[in-house]
Amino acid sequence: MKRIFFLIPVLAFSLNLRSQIYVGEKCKITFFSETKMENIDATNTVTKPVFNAKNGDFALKAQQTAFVFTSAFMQEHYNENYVESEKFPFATFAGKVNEAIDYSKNGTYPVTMTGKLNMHGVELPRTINGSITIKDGEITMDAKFDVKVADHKIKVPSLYIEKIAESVQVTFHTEMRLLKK
Amino acid sequence: MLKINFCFWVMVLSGVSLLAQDKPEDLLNLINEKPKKEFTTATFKTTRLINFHTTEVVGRRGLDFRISHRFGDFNSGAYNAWGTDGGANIRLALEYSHDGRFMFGIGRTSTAKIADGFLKYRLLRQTTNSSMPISVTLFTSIYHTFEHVTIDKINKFQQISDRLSYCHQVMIARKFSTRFSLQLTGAVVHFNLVENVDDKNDCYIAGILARYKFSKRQAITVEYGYRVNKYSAGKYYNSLGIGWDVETGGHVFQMHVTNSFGLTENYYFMYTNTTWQNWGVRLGFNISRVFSLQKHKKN
Repeated sequence: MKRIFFLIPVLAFSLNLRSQIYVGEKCKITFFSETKMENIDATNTVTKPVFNAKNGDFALKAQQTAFVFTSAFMQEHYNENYVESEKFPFATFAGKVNEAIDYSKNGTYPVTMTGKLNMHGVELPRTINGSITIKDGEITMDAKFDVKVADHKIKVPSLYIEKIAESVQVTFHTEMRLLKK
Repeated sequence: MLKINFCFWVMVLSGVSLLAQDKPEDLLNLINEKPKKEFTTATFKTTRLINFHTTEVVGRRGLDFRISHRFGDFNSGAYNAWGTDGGANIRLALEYSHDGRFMFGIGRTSTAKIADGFLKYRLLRQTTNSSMPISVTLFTSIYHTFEHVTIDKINKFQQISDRLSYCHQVMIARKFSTRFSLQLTGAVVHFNLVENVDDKNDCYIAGILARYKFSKRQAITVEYGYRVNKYSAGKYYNSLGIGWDVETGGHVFQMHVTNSFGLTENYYFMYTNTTWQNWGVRLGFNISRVFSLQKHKKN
């Protein structure tokens, strides 16, 4: 029977952990490629990132075909020829917030997140700078980083090298709420 | 006691399983994201395969400027550089879609001085999870010839309606894999005025179109239109074309060999008057350039 008592902290801890999971209700991932010839932009608003405030773990899985481009034919080319969405349907990021933050206190904190960015089937270790804002139990994350097209083995034919930036700017914004069960 | 023991371990393990998030990516298992319904894209590279319309419609806010060109017959011989010297037919067209589903276009063809206008609508779209296994597109068009034709000093076209012809199509396509797409077309062409007294005004066509992509940006295409009914005593043939698609960013370049000289549905379906059997075929190309009329958002 004594062992039952041992159980209580285990369960209490696991329930507690459960209550620290945040899910991005609103999320906007935008990328922007700027060259002298042409600007390309696309936005994904359907991704749901997940964040564990207990240990700082963070993960997201963005569907490539959910990136909406200004131009419909660019969207088709992006999926068909560049990121090959049929073979690699998702871009993913899984990492951890490096700083220890008290998520119960309101405020804005500059943070870094270290993890793995997978795009076009190529996984790269990355450390991304951003900020976390806590306001009344809601967590907002913002980040801006660059993705080098060649690093992810996305081939750009020599004909379009002038039209597609070597490194694409990614802007990330999400508003996260506690996961309801 | 045994029961309690069992319960104990079940509870411990369930507690541990919740704790076992040693990898951040395991977090994603906590939310159940349903795969979204998605429409299959790029069943064909552009709205035409060679001559025939495909189920594709220009993307939203896309303005497609098309140049189609057909040379003369191969069998016109070396003196005519196997057709490249002459007998050219050109169609220039502007085609637009606002929502990526409904499109319209206008065009002008040099031979027979045809002005055409068409409407095209993507009724059904194939989905990637095959909840909808096929794409269906409807097509309707009207052709007006501006040609002056006199027969025994009498104007052939007594009324405007004599100059008009129509085509209606139902297209059913499926993208079987990234590489292979197939389409079946049912079409009817109607001429208000035909050449001979015995000729019928309507021609029914069963068409088949196929595409095989052999690299990321290149494909081999074939189209064939079988004329179902007998509508004329004249020597006309089924249209057969074999082509090569190259996609270069905003352009799609199509090169092909076909026995049809006509560039509009009414002529290539109904009045193809040369045949592959004696090399009555020609070189042709289509160039499609899509301009996006959507304004870029400021970042």
